[in-house]
Amino acid sequence: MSLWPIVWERPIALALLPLWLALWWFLRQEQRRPEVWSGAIEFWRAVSPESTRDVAREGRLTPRWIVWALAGLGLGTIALAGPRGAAPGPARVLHLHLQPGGALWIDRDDPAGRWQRARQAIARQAAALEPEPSVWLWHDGASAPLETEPDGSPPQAFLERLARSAAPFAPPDRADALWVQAAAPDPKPLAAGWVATGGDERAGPVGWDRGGWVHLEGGQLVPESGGAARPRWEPTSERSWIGDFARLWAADRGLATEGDGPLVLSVRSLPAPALASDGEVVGRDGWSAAVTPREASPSVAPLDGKSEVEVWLAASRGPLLARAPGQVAWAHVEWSEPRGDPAQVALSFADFFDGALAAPPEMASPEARADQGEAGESAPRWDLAAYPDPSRWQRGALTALAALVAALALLRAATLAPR
Amino acid sequence: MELPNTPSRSTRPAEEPFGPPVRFGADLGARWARFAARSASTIHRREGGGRALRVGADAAFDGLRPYRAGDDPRTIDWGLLARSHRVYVRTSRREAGETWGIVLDASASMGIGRPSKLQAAAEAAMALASLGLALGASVEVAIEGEREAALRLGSARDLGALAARLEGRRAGGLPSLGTPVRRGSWHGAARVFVLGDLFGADPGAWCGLRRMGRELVLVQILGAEELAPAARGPVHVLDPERAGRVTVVADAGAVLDYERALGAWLETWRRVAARRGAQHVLGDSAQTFEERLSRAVLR
Repeated sequence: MSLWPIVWERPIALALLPLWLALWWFLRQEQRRPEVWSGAIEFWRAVSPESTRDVAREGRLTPRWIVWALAGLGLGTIALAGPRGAAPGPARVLHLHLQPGGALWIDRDDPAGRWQRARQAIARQAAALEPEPSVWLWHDGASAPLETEPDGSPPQAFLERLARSAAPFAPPDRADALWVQAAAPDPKPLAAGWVATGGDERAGPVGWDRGGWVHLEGGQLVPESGGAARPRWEPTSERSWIGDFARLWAADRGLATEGDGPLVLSVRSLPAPALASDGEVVGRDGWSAAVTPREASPSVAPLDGKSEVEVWLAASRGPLLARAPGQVAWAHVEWSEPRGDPAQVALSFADFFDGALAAPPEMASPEARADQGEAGESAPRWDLAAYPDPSRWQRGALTALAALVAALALLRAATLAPR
Repeated sequence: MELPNTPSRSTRPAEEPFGPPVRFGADLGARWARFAARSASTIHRREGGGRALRVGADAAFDGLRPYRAGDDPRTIDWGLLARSHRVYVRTSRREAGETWGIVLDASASMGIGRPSKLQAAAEAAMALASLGLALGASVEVAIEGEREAALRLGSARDLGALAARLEGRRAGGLPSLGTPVRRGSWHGAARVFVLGDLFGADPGAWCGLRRMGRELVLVQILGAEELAPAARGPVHVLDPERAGRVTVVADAGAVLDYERALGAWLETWRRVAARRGAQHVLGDSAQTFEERLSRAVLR
């Protein structure tokens, strides 16, 4: 392993070293006691052995306990600064971590909107990197990263999915990463770069509360006063107790079946799983029902959505209830009346339908619409990115070793320090 | 008291000069002359009241006085005792031909003090030499620790040579007063003055110099910090000669212990000196030579 050049992951920690030097100087001053010349030194030695200590052997050197203490602090500081001494390799991949949710995407049609400003800041930061990255990898925090050429842009679907995503934004603090977000990160990353679009509040709908839309205006949540089209849902014409329950739930939520409102839920079908002739008992959340094969073919369209489908209830050989954003579906089988506490049944299915509601394109969370503060950006520690990132195990081992050395040194200092 | 024989490393070579050089101020010449004149006058006036320095050819009969403890029995007037049943001693007047010896310690520890102990001892040596010459004695000055022969002074004109020898001198070297060493002819002197801090010296050996026909005056000079150290908390005590360095928590208790130990050692000197009939005079280096010697010479 090459020892030079050494680069530091957290060079700010090295600012502690002058502090330890100052501490050493201070302790030296403390040790520098008044000196008195005397021909009667033997009397001092004779009268009170416990009050005298022969330090002739120590001379005027710094006491060993101070040396040990400062060595421990110094080593700990260096370990904290994270030295990297490996031979550099080419660093050409820039990882762009986009903030999930609608904060970046809220004003996508505005040429001076957040997303456009983010693109410009990304281009500025990438152009300033040396060597220039040859590949951009876009991360949405949920699915596999998307690779583009430098100055490329992810497709519309990627961005729309990102806007709908509720995944937490927890990008890695790596030297080859650039965080892309609306508000400036707090705390700031040590190695990663970041761009923050900033931006004023974008007023608009943030939710539907039974009778109408709720808007964010001037930092306040304001119910819309009439006139707006209610969100719609598409029920199934097939009669079943689940379908009846869906209609009750939709009425409670204030969803319409007709009109110009955005479509937020559709009922679809699932292919019937293989069931024994005498059926199978399924259930969850404290209720159960018997399912048996059904002869007729389903009259509703099958569930669409692929990767975003969530199986909510399954028989032994296939799903019975599933949902995807904007869709719910149940298998085309005979369902017996549910057994169990009716309240539990109601709560369970309300959760099933609520979780499938698709947010209308114009709806965004209050956090996404809120004022994002000032714009800002900071370059990543691209010089560090040229070095292999230690594995989690290596980093942990190095940290533990440094802490152990520092602790041993401080322990030694404590045993040597005068009482 | 017996001091612990602690081997240690000095923090500075003992051979190196230590402390300020001896400097004689412009007024000292007049003060020495004044001291010598007054003291000689006093001695002359009371001659017969003091102890004879030498019995024999150097002494001339001057009168009688009542016997006092410590008087040389050979001076008792036995005839008068037989006649009057009273003990009188014959007193004499000093004559030229008497020799005074002055032993000056110049080891490194003498560089301590403000002014230094060496400065105080050198001023006292000059004063004693002036007095001896004023009384008609010849004076030999030996500086312990140096290789040069003792300086013999026969008249007041020689005082300049002594001043030249002392001025500019700095303390240095290991303790030289461990035991008396025969240097020059002062060993046969009628009166011997020893000037120094006496650290490392053997009281029995030095007081043994007192003998019939010879007075011995031990003028012990210590630094103020040696006599009465301040309780200043943790402090490094350094010995310029041999004992290296110790760190001392000089609180009130430790200072008291130190003063007790030092006091016991000083008391040993006083007791041994008294037993041998020698004078022991103690003072710190800040005393003037007049204060110091008035007790030593004009007793």
